[in-house]
Amino acid sequence: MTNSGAHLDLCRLLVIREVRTRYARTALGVLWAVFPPVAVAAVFTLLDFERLMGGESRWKDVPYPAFAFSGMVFWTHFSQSLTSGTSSLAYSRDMLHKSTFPAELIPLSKVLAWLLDLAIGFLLLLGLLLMLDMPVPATALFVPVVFLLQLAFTTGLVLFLSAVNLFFRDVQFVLQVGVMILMFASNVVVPIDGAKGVAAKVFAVNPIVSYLDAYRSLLFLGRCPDLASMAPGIVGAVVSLVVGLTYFRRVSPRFAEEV
Amino acid sequence: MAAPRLVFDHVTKSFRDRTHPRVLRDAIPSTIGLLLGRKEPARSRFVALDDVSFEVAPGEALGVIGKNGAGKSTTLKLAAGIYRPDGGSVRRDGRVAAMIELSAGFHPDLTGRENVFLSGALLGLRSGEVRALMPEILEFAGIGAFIDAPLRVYSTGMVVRLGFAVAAFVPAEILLVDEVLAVGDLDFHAKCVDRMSERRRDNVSLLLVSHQLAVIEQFCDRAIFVDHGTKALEGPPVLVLDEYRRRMVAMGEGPDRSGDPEVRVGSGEVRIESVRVLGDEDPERRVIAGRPFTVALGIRATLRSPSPTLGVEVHGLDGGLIARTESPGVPGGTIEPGPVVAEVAFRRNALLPGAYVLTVFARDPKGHRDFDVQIKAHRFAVHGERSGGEQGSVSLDARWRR
Repeated sequence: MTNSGAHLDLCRLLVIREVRTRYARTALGVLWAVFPPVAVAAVFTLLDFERLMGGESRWKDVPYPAFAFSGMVFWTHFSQSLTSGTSSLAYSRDMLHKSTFPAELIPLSKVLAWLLDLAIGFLLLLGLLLMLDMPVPATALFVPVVFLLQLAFTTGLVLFLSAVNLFFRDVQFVLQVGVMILMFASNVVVPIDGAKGVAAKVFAVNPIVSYLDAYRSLLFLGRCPDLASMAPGIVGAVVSLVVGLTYFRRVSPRFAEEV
Repeated sequence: MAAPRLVFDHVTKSFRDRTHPRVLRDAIPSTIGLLLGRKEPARSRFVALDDVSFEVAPGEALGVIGKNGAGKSTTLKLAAGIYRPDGGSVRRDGRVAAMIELSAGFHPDLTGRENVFLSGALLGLRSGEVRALMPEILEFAGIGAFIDAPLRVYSTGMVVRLGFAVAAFVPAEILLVDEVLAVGDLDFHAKCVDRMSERRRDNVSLLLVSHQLAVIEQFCDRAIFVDHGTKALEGPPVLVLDEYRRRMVAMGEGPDRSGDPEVRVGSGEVRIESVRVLGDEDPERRVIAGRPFTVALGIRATLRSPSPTLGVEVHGLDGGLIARTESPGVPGGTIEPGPVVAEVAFRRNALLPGAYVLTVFARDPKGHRDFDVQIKAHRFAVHGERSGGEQGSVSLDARWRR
């Protein structure tokens, strides 16, 4: 049954359901959206991580709060999408048993629903730059382009992990640790320009590093990232989306009986 | 006759057997297989439906009956396209609306109205179509002003009615109904039956799964009886239901009819592999009322294990416990890997003639752990004649005096 209009509506309604209910019945409501990046950036600022910003770092003129918060805003979208998206299919037994619709919509709606939190966080980031007297360069207009790559990378990964998680619920537990490790293997709150040896190699192929470097370059330095630094991000996005979607489509006929 | 709307053509469906614990040795190759999207080998699978064929014509209602676990729901989910057949084919000519998982996707913090849109979208409707159907859906569900209140303030009945109402108005040529006529109060039940009749007059084809034999009898043009995954009988509802009732009564006949347990749990160090019920005084070893009988359990330890406590429970077919016995513990005893037979003799058999079912278990003697618990694992019959007026499960050897 091809019924793309209805599927679009379903996707929209699933996203609305997610957004409307996530902060339902909380006192602060949607303010919780910015809590993780604000809290983490604030703590790392208080712990004086600014001391790592000196030397030959590209970011030596960037105030540490702006560095950390920009990293956390985009990282939070990735980590929240990954965590909630991966377990989403396993918690959707009833829907998978009700009718035939593209199951991709379930994890995808999770990823899309976190866009609201990202948007609020991004506005707050612009506000922070204003407060810190940092002019926002015109190159900031390219931020959404880089984010599309990050979104593709995230979506592919979430599709893959949510499907594997149906067969082995172990995935969601491995993921909790994996996300934490990945955060420290990236430049989310710690500048990595001086890294050497194995660490340097890990950073060099990490798509997250590539995206975060690009955002900061566009927002703080007014420079477009060069192709070499974008390569892991572009390759990561394409590979993740192709592999994730292919695997997902291949095993999705068996979801209903495995869930 | 017009071309059928729904065709099951030699359909076979099996599932991964989840009752067997996954052993690490098997798990690694099968994990790789799963990740590559391969099917598991047949030996570890449980056949839910075996070579089942039938057709449903436009405007026809077909009822499916059978015991729990006979394959009724599997049939419905195959018809809906939720499961894919392993063998044979399922063909649908037209849109399908399945009245299963009625409250799927409902969220307690959304209003009734918002949940209707979501439910409709899950059934393949555009939001515009749901909007157009909304007055009818609301009228049918009878939710009133609550429709704009969050679902969490609804009563259970209201949630069910809302879910049913959406599915009942989804435009479709094939309607699949799973036991849902059992929901709601009598008024709502009548309304549901009316709605189904209405849709049949619109030439919608119906596939109906129900335990309520009366509904099948009233409502269906034809019925099929599914037994252990195969189509045992097909025909006019009256005849099929008769045969079904007859077999339900006869179930449990025969000296050694081993069944699948309804529920099986346990760690598996010691497994109960066979259950036999043997009469002591009958040449065919049938159990005769008033005569002793023996239950023999074939058990096997996979590792050297503490000597297990074994237990046997006799239940009536309605599930009520009649008697339970446990083997005395062997303090410090162990059991070696391999097969062992343990027997328990019931020397004073007070069971009245009729059908009974055994629950058997093997448990760690300290009571910390269940090795193997098989609930309702084995049916057996007690033969003989009941004297006039004797009812229930046991004879108390009543003697009247006046």
